[in-house]
Amino acid sequence: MTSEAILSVRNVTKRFGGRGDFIARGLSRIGLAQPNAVVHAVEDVSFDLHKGEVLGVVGESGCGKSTLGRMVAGLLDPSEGEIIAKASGANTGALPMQMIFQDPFSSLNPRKRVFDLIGEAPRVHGIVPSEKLDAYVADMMERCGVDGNYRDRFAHQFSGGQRQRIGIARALAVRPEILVCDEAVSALDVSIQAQIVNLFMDLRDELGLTYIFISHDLGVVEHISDRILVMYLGRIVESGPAQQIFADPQHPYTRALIDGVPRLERRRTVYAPIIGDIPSPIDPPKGCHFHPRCPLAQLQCKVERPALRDIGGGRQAACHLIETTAKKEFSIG
Amino acid sequence: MSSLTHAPAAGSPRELARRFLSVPSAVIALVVFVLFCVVGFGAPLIAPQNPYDLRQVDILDSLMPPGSQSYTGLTYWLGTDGQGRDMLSAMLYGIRISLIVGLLSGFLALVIGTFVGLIAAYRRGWVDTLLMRIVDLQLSFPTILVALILLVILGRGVDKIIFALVVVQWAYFARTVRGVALVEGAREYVDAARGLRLSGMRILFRHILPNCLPTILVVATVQMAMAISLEATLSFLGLGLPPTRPSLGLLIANGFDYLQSGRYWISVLPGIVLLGIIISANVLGDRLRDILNPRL
Amino acid sequence: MTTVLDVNDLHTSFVTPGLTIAALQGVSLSVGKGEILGLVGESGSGKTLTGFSINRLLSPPGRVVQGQVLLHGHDVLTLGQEEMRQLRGRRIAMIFQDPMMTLNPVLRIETQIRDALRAHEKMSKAVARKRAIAALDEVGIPAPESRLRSYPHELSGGMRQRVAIAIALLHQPDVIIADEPTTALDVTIQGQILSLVQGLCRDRGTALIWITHDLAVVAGIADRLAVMYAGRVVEVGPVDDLLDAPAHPYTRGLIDSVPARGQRGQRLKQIPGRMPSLTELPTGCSFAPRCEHARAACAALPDMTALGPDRSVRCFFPLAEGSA
Repeated sequence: MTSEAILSVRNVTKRFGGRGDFIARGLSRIGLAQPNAVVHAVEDVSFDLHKGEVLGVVGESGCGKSTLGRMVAGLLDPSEGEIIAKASGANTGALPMQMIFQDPFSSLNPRKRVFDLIGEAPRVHGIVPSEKLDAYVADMMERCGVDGNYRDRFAHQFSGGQRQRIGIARALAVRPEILVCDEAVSALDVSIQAQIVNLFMDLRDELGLTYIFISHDLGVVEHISDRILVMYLGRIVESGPAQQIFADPQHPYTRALIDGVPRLERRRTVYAPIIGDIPSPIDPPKGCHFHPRCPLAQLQCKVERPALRDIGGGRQAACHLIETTAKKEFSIG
Repeated sequence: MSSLTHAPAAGSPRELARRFLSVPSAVIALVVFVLFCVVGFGAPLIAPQNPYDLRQVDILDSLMPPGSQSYTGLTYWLGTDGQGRDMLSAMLYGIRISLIVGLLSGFLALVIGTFVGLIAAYRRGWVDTLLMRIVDLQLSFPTILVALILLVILGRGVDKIIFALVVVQWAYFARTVRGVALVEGAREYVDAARGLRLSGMRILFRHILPNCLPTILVVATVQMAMAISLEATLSFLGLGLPPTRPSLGLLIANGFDYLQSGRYWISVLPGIVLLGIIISANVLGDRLRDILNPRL
Repeated sequence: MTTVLDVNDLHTSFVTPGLTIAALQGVSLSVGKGEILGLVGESGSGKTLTGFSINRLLSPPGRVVQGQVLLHGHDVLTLGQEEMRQLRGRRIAMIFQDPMMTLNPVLRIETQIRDALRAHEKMSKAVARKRAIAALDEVGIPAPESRLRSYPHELSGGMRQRVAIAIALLHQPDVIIADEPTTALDVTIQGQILSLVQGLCRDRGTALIWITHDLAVVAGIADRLAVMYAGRVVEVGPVDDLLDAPAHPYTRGLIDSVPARGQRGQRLKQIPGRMPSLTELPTGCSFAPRCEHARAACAALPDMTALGPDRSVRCFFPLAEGSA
């Protein structure tokens, strides 16, 4: 799918902590206190997002995918680097990006009626004139599968799946081009998850939306994504078309991740998992972040950070060994 | 396609009222407090005598025990004080002024404290630090001391005592509201509002504040009881309210000298009334806290 | 295969003055030595409640009102408090989703393991320490001697769960009930725990009931499956039979809801509506309102009917694929 890039992320880095208030800084300057630990949440991430695609972002705890999502959605500012959104400017007042949150129970204001939840932003930003607002809100709700007559109700009167739908309607109401879904289906039951995943796909077809789909659930990501980014401890370790990555992962971490995911068809598997714990983003390993757990680690991996390089077919990977080995079969465990 | 739960929404006013009233002590406290409010604010209408109108007060009728009659045929149901004022009337007016001072100062302190707390929680950084250090400073002085000093400087008057009470109370509100606002501000619906590019002030006052209201309400009831008690103490010490507008505290003070000689009614009766107001306000606050806290 | 645990017609309700809500209504299942039974259901299905009922960990107003839980033939539900306490941890152990339900945040690991050991056996501190090191080693915790001195918050989530598993295994129980033990863990850590638990059950012959909502996890590890819906078991059978040819429409729906390979870009088959809450259960088959095969007869409550030697389903019209 070659279409224009509507979002460019260039060398984005995000660090948390490290400064503290002025008392803490003063104390650490005279040596009486430790400076606050710095969390390297996201490190030097670059990618393009193309119109109409679903970009899946996967990784485990501490990989930075949520932080990246928040930066793209404008909720956090990067410490370094830039995020360039090339909005096509078709709608005045429209916001280019919106975020769908994980927890349907805390992402809706318990004190507001559904009508206010969905209608406040379009009204404030002048997207819809006030006389048309009522019908607009009802329409948004129906599109997302919630009966528009319930717009006078409060959020807690709905189920988890319905609340998630209301959250989606709220995001759609400001006519975004890009939706950042941060674990948007993870808190839902399996059968409700299927409904919401289908809804996402329907909305993409109807409204021409572009998605960044962040999730730890590889099955869902594989199902819905066109391309994926695999992240580990703040860095992208592999990227490319979803189908290819799932069929033939190149990076050892991606390999371990995909092989380790339980699948319905795999019965009575003998799990041969990857060893070791996920390191903390406060003190990541030097060189390649993955080397302490990588069965193929070489001396170079401990010292030098591998850059994200093209490995053909629209794919990129950050591993020293991929270039030096053509078609070596990786066996792990 | 979408179905709704049909129970009254947990947290709806009707449900909360039902739970509130399910405990007998809360019902009693509510009735007592409302009664005090009614008689207090209705004092000009129901008091047999206006104790501030010197033409109605006869010094010859002073120190008469409860139940005695004046020569004009007026029954002094609760006796008279040293000036000949009818105790019942004086107490009704006293309740009135105590409630006005307590409620008004509590309300003003709430408004100021809430505003400061919200700003501190939302802005964080040096604004938060500065405001909270001021709050800490304020709270580290004993309330009585601060109020005393202020009233000595300012003199007597209803407005002055309200001012002093606001000064000593706002900090407590500020700290509590900041705490709740921090918790609410960390919730995802605030992130969603920021993502929708709503202005900071709108988020603060239309999104976060309504969710802080339960806590604010509980603190307000407790603080109000404290304000009434504090005002009574200050009046007892002869500060704040002028002697021409005796609050319950002043009435107690006036009658102090007569306790030894058996004329108990001048101090004890206002004391009981004061106790009643404070206890009922406290019980109401406790009950509110109970029903609003374990909300899942 | 010898049956270790046999649950017969278990009914659990929430009893308050004026209102009784029936939560579990006739749950029956069994698990044999060395066998792993997957208990699958979504939230509100009653699977966690079943685990708690078996172990008698219900807090009021929840109560078991009917049924038997037979451990080696003896009914656990009739035991007194003290006898039950002796049984728990020794013969039946439990692992929770949140390891902090097992671990005390203010005690060191060594203290907690020692307490768990001494609850059922007399031993000296030195012996307890040796046993603790061996237990931690068995669950794959590196450098166990130094780990003993740690507090739970100093360990990662995966480590904590391993410690919880180690404690569960200390007395070689006959049955372990694991309630969503890997749901909160990352994929690679989940793989480690799954591998660990699998190995331990295989080597020691411990029976395991693995409670989860994740069909894929249980597919890889379980020998048999029991599917729960709205407080009842709706289908039981060997894992291959159930997943390849389900008999109950709900099981079919669950399987279809899971994105599988080779379906990219297609709509997932979804079950409309949602599971009824305990207070809104329909009379008759509780799945009928959402079932595309529902007929007039489904207004009555179906019993579990056997479809084979080890297969049963609660449905008047089981799917053809499953009834073969």
